[in-house]
Amino acid sequence: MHTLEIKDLHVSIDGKEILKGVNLKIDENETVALYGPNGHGKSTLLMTIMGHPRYHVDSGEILLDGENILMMDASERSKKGLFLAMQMPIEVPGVPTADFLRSAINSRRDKPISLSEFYKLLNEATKEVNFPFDMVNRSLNEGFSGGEKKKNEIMQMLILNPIFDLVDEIDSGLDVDAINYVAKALKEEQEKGKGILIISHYARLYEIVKPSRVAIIVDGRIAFEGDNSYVEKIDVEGYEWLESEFNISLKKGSEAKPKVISLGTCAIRKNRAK
Amino acid sequence: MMLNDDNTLKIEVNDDVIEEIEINSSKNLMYIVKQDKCLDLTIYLSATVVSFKIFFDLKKNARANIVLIDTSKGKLDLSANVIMNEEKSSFEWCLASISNNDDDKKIDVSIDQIVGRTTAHMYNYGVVLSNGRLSFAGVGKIYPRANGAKVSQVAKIINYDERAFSSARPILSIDCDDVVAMHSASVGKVDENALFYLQSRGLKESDAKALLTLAHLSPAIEKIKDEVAKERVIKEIKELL
Repeated sequence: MHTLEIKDLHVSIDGKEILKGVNLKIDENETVALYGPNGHGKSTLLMTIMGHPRYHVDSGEILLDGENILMMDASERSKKGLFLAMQMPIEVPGVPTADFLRSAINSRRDKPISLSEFYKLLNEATKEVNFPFDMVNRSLNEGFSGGEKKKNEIMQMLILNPIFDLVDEIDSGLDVDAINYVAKALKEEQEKGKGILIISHYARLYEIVKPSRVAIIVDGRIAFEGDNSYVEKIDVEGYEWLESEFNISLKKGSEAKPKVISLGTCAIRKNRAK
Repeated sequence: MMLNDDNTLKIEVNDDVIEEIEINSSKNLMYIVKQDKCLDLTIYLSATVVSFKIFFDLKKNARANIVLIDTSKGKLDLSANVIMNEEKSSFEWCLASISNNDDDKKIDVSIDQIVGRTTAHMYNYGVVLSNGRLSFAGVGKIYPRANGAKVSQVAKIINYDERAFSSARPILSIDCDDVVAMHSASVGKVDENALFYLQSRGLKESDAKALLTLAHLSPAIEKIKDEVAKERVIKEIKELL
């Protein structure tokens, strides 16, 4: 059983503390929908797990199968089985997508992939997400539409076959057809038993990619965890019920450390019956 | 081909020529491209060159496309001077230069467009590693009679280290109203987000930097016609990183 565990993680950017003690555990075969108001640390958490150097870990641990990965750079974390599908994929002019992908594949193999095997893999992945094959000859993400960039992220995820998928608002800016392709690919990741930590503001994605549970980050901490029935609640009601029902302040910069609420199925039913 | 008094090797281009030359010590060269002729010249600077001066004199309707790949070591003082004194000539200069440990490179390119309907494009791309130094100065002079001249200059340098020094100065001196002109310059650090993106897919930092460097220098590298030579240059640059 693979596990990804975040323990009391404190992270700052340019001296400003963003994450203030995140605790979260994800197992393989599990999809956690990470929710939270804008600017409360969702993307910061994913970037930190992947090892972006700008995100400074002040304290805490990130354990992959029990091993602390904080001393590893992004490259090593990738090879250990983490993948981050980014909200805003970077444009890299002059680096052809296919060359980059081949380098990425070879980075985790002893023997370089053959050209025929590579193109077979590429062909299958492009079809899976309906990404035009000829675009793999273009510079990485340069001049791609928002949808093409997101499909490219998912295509890379399929090719690199990680253990844990970190997915940051992959559905934003996608049209209905594109969302369906991306959601289908993520559903297949679920069926393969991957662990998925996903950020999305839209219930539509979760209709296809059903989360195992929901975690809500507020002011840099996981303030609430519950089952997937909370997807609908958040979609309909937003986050204000956290304050009214659980006394969790939605304001940032609160000095008091909020109590973390974790609800099992029975507790949820009891609480929601009005 | 003849040697001038100042040890400049003078070469007259009387036919269309595609040529590759390797320079590994100080040299002075002068190319005179005759009317209606075309020179495609790829120059490789390797080993320790110290001083390299190259002159181009373009006659009517002559064309010269110059690619210069500089992986030389140590001190380099490179100057290129182009005279376009007859109509309809065109000149393109595309340079890729790497400055590494203790290298100190100064690259000056000047193009004089004296008469009308001439075209000159200058592209200088550089990468500075460790405590290397690299300076680009591009000077384009458009003379009063140069109606209809077109001129552009691009100079871009990436520094990979806090100790690196670089400067890029594109200068256009225009004394004529009927001109199409463009210039740009940038000097900066490697894009941290691009580096992270590549590393997040498993590429080692050195491999990611190699990809970004080759991408940055690709406008020059991609112009190398000989595929074997191109592969050799790519390999050499990767080894430097």
